[in-house]
Amino acid sequence: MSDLLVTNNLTKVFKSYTAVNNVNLHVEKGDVYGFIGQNGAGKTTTIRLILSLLKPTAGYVELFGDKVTNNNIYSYLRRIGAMIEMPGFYLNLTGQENLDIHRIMMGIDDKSSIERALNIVKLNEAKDKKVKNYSLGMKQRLGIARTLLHDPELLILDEPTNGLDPKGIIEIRDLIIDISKNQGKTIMISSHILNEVEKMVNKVGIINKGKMLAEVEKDEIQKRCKKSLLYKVDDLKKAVDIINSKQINIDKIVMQSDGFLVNVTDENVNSVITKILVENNIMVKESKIVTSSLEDYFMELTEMESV
Amino acid sequence: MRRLVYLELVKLKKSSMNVILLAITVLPILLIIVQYVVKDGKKVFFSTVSANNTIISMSIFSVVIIVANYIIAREYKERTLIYLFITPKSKTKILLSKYILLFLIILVLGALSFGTLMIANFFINGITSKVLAKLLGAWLIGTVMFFLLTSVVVYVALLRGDFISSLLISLVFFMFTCPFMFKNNYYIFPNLIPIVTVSNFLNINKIKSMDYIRSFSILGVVFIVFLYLSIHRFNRKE
Repeated sequence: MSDLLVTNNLTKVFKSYTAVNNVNLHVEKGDVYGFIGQNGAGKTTTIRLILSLLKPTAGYVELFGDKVTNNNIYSYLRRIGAMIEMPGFYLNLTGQENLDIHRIMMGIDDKSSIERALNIVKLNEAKDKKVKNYSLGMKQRLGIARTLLHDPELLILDEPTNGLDPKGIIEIRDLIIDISKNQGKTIMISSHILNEVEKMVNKVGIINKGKMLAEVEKDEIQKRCKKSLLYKVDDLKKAVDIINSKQINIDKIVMQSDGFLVNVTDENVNSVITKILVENNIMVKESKIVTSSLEDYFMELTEMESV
Repeated sequence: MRRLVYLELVKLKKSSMNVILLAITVLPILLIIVQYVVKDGKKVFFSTVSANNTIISMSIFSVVIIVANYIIAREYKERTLIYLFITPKSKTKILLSKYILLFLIILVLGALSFGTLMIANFFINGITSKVLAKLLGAWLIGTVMFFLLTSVVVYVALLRGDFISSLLISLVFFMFTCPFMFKNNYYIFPNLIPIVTVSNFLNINKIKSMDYIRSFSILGVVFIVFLYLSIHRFNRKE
């Protein structure tokens, strides 16, 4: 697959503060790329650099295979739909009028593009309402409609679920999944809500304190993620003592308030442990496999970075 | 560029700012008519207009300050500027379209002011070609001169990025300099040049004004300098 977006040692220094430090990211055609990091990690600054809203201190951006310069950026902006932080609108105008302004700014003659974009984000019924009367979720959806208006190849969405309630987050998440699957767009989505990103993306870039810590396929993360077995038993201390005394292929045991967690490399150990517990008259109330998430992977990386 | 100016007009649609602008423009005219009816009924209407011309000029300049601040600062407040910048339109053209809109607004509101006075004059004393020429001339001189000051206000609005603070800076400066209007060296503050020039054009010889070439030259230089600064500021990438 070809790279639609590449950054090469992208760096941005504000006076003495390095907001983005040698960031290299690669978004391929068809990707749903999760750009994750805590607040202030450098996500929005990186996106602003990609869109030429900021001037890099060092490094450069490649879009659609070409190095971006001040002279050619306008031609690439036609092929990108972007939503940066909170979507901004003219509050005295309706949703449709706001999209019409963007349509003309993008140089699109086809007025039906507005209807089409509103249909995708399911905002057709509210198109004649003034934006000042929209809820935050509706504004986010209208913002996504604006990014789709000119049928771009690449969507860049900066924190699209920011400030939304759980229902709103699910709506936006489903919308992004729908756009990716049914519209065939390449999407770069930045967020600090890791478990939300995890459900949408196929690749993640993890940024912390301006540095790119890792860029991996989601499948790769799942392979790397450790598996654990959780047991809830009637006599916790006795159970842990017995397991510790046996020669079983396990990494370590972690005591919890209502059970214990065993880190394993082989899931088949489960039947061995259960058998031992039953033979020693310990009642197993519950046993299940727990897989560590993107969040755990993220925490592991950022903690390593701190050390 | 025509489409960009059209978009600037669309952005003002259904805005409460239109009512404010209209009120600031129309109120001084109404006051002049009321003053004539109550106090100067026996005089010629045009003499009341001439005597109160400074109020009209000041109201037009207030409109310039308010509207210029509004069309710039709202793009920051409503976070729309960033979305203009990620379109394939040049930033300079976007800014120039705002200047053209400002020119059109000054032209229309000036026409409303002087047109209303012309109509009132027609019904009260009938209209002579001399009065017609004076009012038309005052409108055209005022429009061009006030427009030449817009780049200063736009630059302040771009520096501040906030409607209230940039409005206060511009209005306070304007009010502070007002007393200099009656001094011979009033041109030190170019914002007073249109007011004094229009007043003199309407035969109010309280102040000796400069000739038109010098007045337009000073305002022209101010316009070009601040236009350059505002374009530079608008295109600036941190």
